[in-house]
Amino acid sequence: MKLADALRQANQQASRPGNALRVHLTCGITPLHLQTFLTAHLANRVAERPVTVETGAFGDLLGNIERARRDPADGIAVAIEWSDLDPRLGFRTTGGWAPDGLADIVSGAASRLNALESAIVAVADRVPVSVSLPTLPLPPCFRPPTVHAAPHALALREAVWAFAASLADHPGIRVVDPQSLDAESPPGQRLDLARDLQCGFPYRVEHANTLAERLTALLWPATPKKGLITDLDNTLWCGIAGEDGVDALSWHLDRGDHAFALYQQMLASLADLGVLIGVASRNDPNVVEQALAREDLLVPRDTFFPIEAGWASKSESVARILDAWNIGPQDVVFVDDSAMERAEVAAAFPNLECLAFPSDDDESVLALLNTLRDRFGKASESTEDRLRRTSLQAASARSAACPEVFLAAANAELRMSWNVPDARCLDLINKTNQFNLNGRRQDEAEWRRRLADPSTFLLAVSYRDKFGPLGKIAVVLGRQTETGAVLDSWVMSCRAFARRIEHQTLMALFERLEADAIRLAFEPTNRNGPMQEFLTAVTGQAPTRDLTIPRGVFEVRCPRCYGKVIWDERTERAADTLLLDRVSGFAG
Amino acid sequence: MPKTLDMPRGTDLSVGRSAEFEREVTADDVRRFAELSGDRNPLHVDPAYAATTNFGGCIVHGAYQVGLASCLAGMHLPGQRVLLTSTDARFPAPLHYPARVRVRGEITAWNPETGAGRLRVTVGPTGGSITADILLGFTLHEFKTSRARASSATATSRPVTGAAVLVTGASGGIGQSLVESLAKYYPVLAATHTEGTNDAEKQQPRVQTLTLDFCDPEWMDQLRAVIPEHGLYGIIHCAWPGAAQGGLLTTPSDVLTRQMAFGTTHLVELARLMVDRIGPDGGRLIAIGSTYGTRQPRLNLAGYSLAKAALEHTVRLLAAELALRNVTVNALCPSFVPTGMNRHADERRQKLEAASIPAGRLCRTSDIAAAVEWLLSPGASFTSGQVIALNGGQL
Amino acid sequence: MFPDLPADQIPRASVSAVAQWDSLATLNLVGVLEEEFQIRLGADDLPSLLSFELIRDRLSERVYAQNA
Repeated sequence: MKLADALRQANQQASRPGNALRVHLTCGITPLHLQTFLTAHLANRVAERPVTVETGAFGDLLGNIERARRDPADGIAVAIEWSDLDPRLGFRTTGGWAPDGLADIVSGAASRLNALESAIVAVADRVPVSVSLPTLPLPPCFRPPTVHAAPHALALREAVWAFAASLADHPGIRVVDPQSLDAESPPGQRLDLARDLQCGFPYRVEHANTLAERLTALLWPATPKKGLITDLDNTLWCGIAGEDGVDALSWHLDRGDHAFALYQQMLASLADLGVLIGVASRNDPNVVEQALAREDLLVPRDTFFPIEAGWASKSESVARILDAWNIGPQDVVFVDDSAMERAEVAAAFPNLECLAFPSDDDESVLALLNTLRDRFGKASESTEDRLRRTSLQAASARSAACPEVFLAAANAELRMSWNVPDARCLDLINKTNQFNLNGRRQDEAEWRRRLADPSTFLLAVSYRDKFGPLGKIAVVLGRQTETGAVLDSWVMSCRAFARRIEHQTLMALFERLEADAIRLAFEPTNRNGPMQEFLTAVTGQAPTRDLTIPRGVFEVRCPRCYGKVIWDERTERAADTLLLDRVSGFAG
Repeated sequence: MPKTLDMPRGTDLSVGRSAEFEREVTADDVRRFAELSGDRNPLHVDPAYAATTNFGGCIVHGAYQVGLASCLAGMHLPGQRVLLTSTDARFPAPLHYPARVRVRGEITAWNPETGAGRLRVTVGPTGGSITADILLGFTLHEFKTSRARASSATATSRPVTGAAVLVTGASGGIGQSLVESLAKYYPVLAATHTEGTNDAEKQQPRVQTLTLDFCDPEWMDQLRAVIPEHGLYGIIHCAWPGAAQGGLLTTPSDVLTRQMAFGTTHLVELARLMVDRIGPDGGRLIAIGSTYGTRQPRLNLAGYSLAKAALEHTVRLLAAELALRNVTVNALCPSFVPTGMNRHADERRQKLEAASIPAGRLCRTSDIAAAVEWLLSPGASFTSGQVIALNGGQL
Repeated sequence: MFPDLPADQIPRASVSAVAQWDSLATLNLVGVLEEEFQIRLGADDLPSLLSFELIRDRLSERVYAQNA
């Protein structure tokens, strides 16, 4: 927050109706911008009431705390600086930095800390208190060079840490974590000496803002969230369970996938706090079961409840999980590596927080873990939290999941090419398992032979939408016979599910082939459940081997599709040139 | 001769306005100009001579082209009321004749307050480059009668139509006379403590009367309801509760408080009203004080004196606070006026008072009205925070 | 800075014209100006912070000198 905005907010909030929230800002420095920022941050936190921040006398931290104790308020923020422990540790006095005064400074500071502790504890039984430890640098008043930790300086810091640990034992007192402050306010950029000497306000504006924000967050902590729904592939582990096989999934240091292990560890830690952990994954339920059963998984299997594994859209899975938990979307966080999935869920649940799992960036994973800790962390734990995993809370309404709205807004574009073979097509046919007509593989020789046959046709589909391109994701290989067209191979990458690309592919085939019916060389495999489900949906019955789909039946059962179909102009190569064309690595 | 157009009269001049005309310049024109001016330099009139110079042929006098600029100023823009005050001419290229020239002028500066401006005129053959670039300074000449009109208008200029002057205490001696004199120039809102006290007011067409009791906590709302937005220009605060006799120690506290309120809090509230209801012309707040305030406080009118003294200081502070909003705040402090609360003063008393005034007479309501009129005028916009005694030189 | 000051009065505003412009307001003004224009105002800048026009002129000088 900028100072100009804080001033504006502090002015505007004064005219809100209702009883003012009163907070004491006790500090030894001139309150100036710290008071302004604290007022503004409190006003943002407590949106419906006006806020007043009372301050006390300059240079008298202890007195201010005692005055605050006599004046009932809604909260007290205590901002301690070295100069409060001894004026010689500040820059405004000239008590002397003589080496023989150092012992006096240290002992004086220790007794001052004791007095502060008593005063703070005395107020804390009635009012919430947030405390910040000294944030400014110590002056260069010690004997050794600054790079060398002086014994007196260490003694001062030790006294402050002991003081902080003692305060933290009290439930009503919350101490600002110095590490959290360091992360946002670099220690070397906090002191404004000119301003300190001019009027007794020693903080740079940015530091004052950060400090005020932290103090506010401790006085009015956000309610911890209650549930976390996680994706599996490339979120809980590296790899795609359905494609790579359960054993190939990795979260191991030597494979460079340790970030996933950290995430699992975090989930286990949150579960211990009583956070509900659910799974929403586009996968075969059996595969998921196997994967979650792996013994080296860092999250105990029974932590996950419920597990929504299937082919429905993520928002539908999330809806079912929320239902099962009986809590509202505002208390839940959803973690997934796919921007599209996150957007889809966010569209259905506007106040459900969707966080990205950055599967290829370790630094960002740490930021995510910090965020999760911020969302779910609790100062203390109750047995009730632990029980919540097995019992249900009071319900709140959820909005209906609506894939239509989401698909309509995705700006999807399907680029179709006809009879333009390349290596990627063969790859897809051989690699894809789940959305695969029959699981039959082809080697290169057979591939060339098929392509050389003039009755062969090849359809390749590339997809992009507003979230980005997916590249070539579907391939159909078929042939024209006397009795009509037959599809011998049809594969689609599992990245492309839930976009109705398969529907648009089949529609394109009907149009291009000008056929009234298409035969499909379907064969059930132990992996192509998704293909089976699709065929069941569009024909109205479970698929048999070699089934025929009449165009009319398909059109009636085909749901509305929103993608724009663009035919690649480079089509209709002569049959004999198909063999000669070996365009490699063409990403359509 | 170019057609005499509907000449602008100087009231619609603005930077960027332009005018132009075209004219044939013939050998005959140049010959006549040479005769008239006496400049028969052969470069202008002797073709044989001119052919031997680097110009190759006769050229038009530069001064002739300045004359064309004069024609544009005097006949086209600014037109009839123009008065040239300066010329500065350059001749970047020679103008040969005969030629058809284009004369174009544009106002490059214009200050309506001082009536001064600048006109830049260019002359050149049509389709050719400029042969004369002339900067004319000008003002506008006045007509005799309009000057008289203008001066009287300044003294008693009216503000935006409809913006009224509020007079509190309009039933008092001073108040009544102010209402009467102001109504000649402004719509007046006469606020009185009691109803129907003055028929004379009712006879005046631009006067609207209103009952206003400062003891009523709603008096501000009443005024707000009656005065529309942008509807207020001046407030003359004459209202005052009767002056209780006695020193401070013997004056009851509530009487003292009430006296003080008329000089402080009520005046501040009127200032608030002013800020809420003024229009783009700004505003004038005038409080009627007294020489019994800080100049010559009266022990037996201690409460009155104290409150009138406080009024002076309220005026000073309000003036600073309202300056940015173009509201001036002043106090007029008349010496003894035999009207209103003093209407019972007998002749002896009046002569006693007059004896202390060097001008040899008492202050009249017309003296106050004239001072009010001046303070209300736009010309008094820089006079603010002042306490002006109307006391005929009394020391 | 001064929420009750209408925009049309800002050009003529000064310490003598705005009742809320006290020493605390000046300190806030310094903070906001430093933040907004990314400059440091020192002791020799303070006498200039008395009116909108003076502040504007001072900032022009400072920013010009910085970019020169």
